[in-house]
Order: sequence, then C-alpha cells, then structure tokens
Amino acid sequence: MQLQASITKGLTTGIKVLWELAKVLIPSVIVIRVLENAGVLAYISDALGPVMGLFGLPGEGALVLVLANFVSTYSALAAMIALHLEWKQVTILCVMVLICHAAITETALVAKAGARASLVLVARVVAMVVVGVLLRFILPG
Amino acid sequence: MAVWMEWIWTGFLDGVMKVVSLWWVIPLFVGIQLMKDRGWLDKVSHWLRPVLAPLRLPGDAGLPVAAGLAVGLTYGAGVIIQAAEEGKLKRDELTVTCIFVGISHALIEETLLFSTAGTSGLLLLVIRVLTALVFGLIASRLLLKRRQPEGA
Repeated sequence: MQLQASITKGLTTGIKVLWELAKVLIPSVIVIRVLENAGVLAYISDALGPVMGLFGLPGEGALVLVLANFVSTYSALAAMIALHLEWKQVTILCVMVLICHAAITETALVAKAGARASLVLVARVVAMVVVGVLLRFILPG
Repeated sequence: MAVWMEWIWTGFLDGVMKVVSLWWVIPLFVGIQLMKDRGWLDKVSHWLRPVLAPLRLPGDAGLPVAAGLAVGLTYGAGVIIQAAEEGKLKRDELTVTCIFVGISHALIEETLLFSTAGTSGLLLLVIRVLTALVFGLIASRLLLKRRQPEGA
C-alpha cells in the first residue's frame, strides 16, 4: 500500500477512535460525577468493599471492572479517572482491566478464531484475580 | 442553577478536557497503520521466536502473536482466523495463542491510554506481558506436547 494511503487511513482511524472515546468518556464522567455527589457511589462502595478489599481497592472499583467487561475499556478508563484513587489503586485496577476486559466481544472473537474460548476466558479471569491480589502485596504504598 | 445541573456541567467539562488531552491517539493510529501496511509485523514475528518456543507454539503462530501484541485482538484475531483456516495451527495451539494474546494485546494503544489514568505505562506493560507469559506457559504445559526443534 502507498505511504500516503496508509497515513490517510491511520488519520481516519485515529479520529474515529478519538470520537468514540469522546462519546463514551463525556457521558461516563458526567454520570459518575452525579452518582458521586448524590451519594450512590458511597453506597456501592460500602456494599462491595469486602470483595474489592481483596485487591486493596475501594468498592467503587467494582464499577470499573464491570464497565470494562460489559460496556467498554474506554468507559472503564473514564470511570477510573473520575474516581479519586491513589496511585497504587489505579495501578492495580489498570492491570486488572487490561488483563481481562470486553468479556463478551473478545471471547466471541477468540471462539471465531477456533480456540477453546471458555478456557481462554477462564484463564483471563483467573489471571486478573491472582495478579490483582499479588500486586496488592507487592506494590509499595 | 439547581445543584445537580452544576454536577452535570462540571462532569461535562472534566470529560471534554480528558478527550482533548487524548489528541495523541491520532498520530498513534497513523503509526499503527504504517506498521500494518509496511510489513513491519513480519519482522516483529521473527523476533518472537524465542518467546514462542517455550510456549510450545510453532513459528506460524508468530504473525498472529505479533499482530495481537502490536495492534490488538480484533486485527490479531483476523490474522489468527486466517492462520487457522490455512490449517497452520491446531485447536490447542490456537487456545494457547489466544490465552497469551488475550491477556496481552494492543500493547501500544492500551498501555498509553491507561497510563493517562495516573500510573506508569511501563509498569503496566511489564506486568501484563509477564502475566501473559506465565499463563501461556501453564496452558502450554497442560495442552501441548513438547515440540521437536524447528526445522528438524
């Protein structure tokens, strides 16, 4: 393919991705700000605190994991930015999201490729949990 | 102004600022497109041989793994499907490949994006690749027989 064609295609994709990000980021940040101010986040945090505590995360962290797997990684990123987390918590949550996200779409892709998709999904979930717990003890802070 | 309108407004401003600060994804995708179109992935797949051997994967897994690591699972899966259709990879080899690439993919884009949440991208990258290697190794021991040396 010609150099110019590659650059044009890359630019188009980049702009498209930024637009997709905007469509998800702006509403997510708004929703989280409203939930936070209305006290809903504190409620979720209390309810899920014990589970997320395994990873040294506050209960709201569960929102990020749910968004990453059932909505999109972009929305999870937006939620993470909007929550007020410490460096260590952000790092653990980022790693967990990056290891296991888009459970539905990516598992479908993997199945289409002909691999044992359920096994791939199980491996990713286990990896996310194990690494999350390990990082809680390894990372400073 | 009602208090909740203020919440929405500050949320909106926060969101817009965040989007503006992500302008660099545009040149990033130009770079990724160049990588795809100029055949650089073939070179990367060559460098991956030392990684594939311990995972008990054949050299034919190199291109799908390179595509997944560098560009992402969607493009990587396309290349994997192609490799599978050509009969180059067996089902269990595909599974190990997908576990490795599933945990660790789109390393450029996702690492850069998530580092904007306020952490070290390098740290995220290292942890993720290590995790993929460990789980890939475990899966390969469970699913695949030891390979004869390539080219033998």
